[in-house]
Amino acid sequence: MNAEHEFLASAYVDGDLTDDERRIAEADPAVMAEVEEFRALRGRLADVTPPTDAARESALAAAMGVFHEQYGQAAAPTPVPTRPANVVSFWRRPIAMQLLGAAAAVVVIGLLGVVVMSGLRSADDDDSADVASDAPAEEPADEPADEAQLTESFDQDVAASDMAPADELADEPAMEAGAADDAGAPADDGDSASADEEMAAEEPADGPSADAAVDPARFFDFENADEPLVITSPDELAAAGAYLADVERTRPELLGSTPESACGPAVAVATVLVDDAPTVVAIVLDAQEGRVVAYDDTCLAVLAAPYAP
Amino acid sequence: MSPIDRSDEQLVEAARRGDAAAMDTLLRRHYDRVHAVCRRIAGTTRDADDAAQEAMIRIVRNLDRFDGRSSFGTWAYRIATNTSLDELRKRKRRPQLHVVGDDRDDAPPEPTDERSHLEIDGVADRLSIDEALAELPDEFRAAVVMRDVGDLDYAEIAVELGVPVGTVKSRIARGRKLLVTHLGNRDDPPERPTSSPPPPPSTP
Repeated sequence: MNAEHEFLASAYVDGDLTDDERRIAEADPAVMAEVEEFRALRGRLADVTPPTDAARESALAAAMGVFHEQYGQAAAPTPVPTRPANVVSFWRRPIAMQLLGAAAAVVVIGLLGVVVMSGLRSADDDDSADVASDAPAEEPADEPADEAQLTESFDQDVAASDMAPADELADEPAMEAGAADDAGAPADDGDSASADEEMAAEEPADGPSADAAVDPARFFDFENADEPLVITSPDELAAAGAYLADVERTRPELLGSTPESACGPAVAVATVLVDDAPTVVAIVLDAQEGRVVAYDDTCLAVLAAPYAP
Repeated sequence: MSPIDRSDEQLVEAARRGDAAAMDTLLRRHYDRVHAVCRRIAGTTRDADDAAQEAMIRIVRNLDRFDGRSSFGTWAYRIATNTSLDELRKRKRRPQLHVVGDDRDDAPPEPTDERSHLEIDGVADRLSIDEALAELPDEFRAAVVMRDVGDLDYAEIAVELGVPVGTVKSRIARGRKLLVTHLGNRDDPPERPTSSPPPPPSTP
């Protein structure tokens, strides 16, 4: 078999021959034997060990991380859990907002008083204007059922009027959230506009859910005495990246020496949930790309996310 | 229409508009072939995993540059080839850290029944192909893999390797012949890692 036969057989397999050349090839048994060998080789080359699911998912996650960087968070395929509205404490709000809140509270109390009074008038069926005007302070205590009914209907009204602003909170977390909170405060406490009570009413929304977002320091052991938490999502990795970038910039001594890693200049070691299994990873910050990447011990990027350097 | 029912071209258009589901579908559709190309060029599953991941990232990064002159698959396999060649170059520059057990393929399953004999033959076949490919010069290997695994045509391979089409044809022909010769030498019964009777020759 010479080089010309090889060339002819190879071109025959690829369908790259003219009609004349093909006839010549088919007339030569040696060339056709070579053709059969090359065809069999093709089959064997295509018989590749299939990739593992873990490798596939890891590669796709890394690529989609880049996609989200390029096209923004709006393009995220998986819905990001909506964080609760960022409720700002009454005393931490700007003065103007405090005044607005107080004014709104006064108006609500006034309206409530008017409603209670008119309700008492009709309930008592009393013709005396003097009694009616003197009564409001004491009457609610004497008529708890009526007040409860009125408060309940008021709460229902406020709750109904709050529906739209509450829906808007997820999309407009900043000023809109504050404004909605102002309008919604009476609904929480009924007839109270006291700042302390308002703050108390805010606690459930602010406290545990803020903790649920997880302080990124808790993923590492620099400033955290407890067992470091496992990073479970790109959002958490992004938060971890931003935290590490901040520590690297402001308190580099906390990071100590760079962990051994062949995958790049790792900033820290953490644990990431991969296929439901905690996996120790090296965290590498790519400041140029604005990307934080978690590499496993084989230098496979198991999770990536954008972060603000 | 769900993303899975859409053509590559439709998915590319949607992905360019920021449709993450379309991008995900497109990448999933081509990942296995991309991985196969990487596997054949890079040589080990571990390197193929890395190269395939990098290829996926490059596909996303360069999606806006895909001009539609070739099919998306062809374009993606070209990227996979380039990425694998880069991986090979990187591997040559760095010291070999994984001398033993570098590949999952190194551990064939225990021969417990007839079916496992077949599995072992499959693994052995892949191993001998890997070994034969490893002995090919890079430029021959890339040309053969791009043609026989990536299904790229001569002109596309020529562009990718930066050589004339005639050179591509001769590299493919020469590479195939060398592979057949290597495999012929390796298919001798004593070299197979099993005590089962040797299979009939896979080439006529």
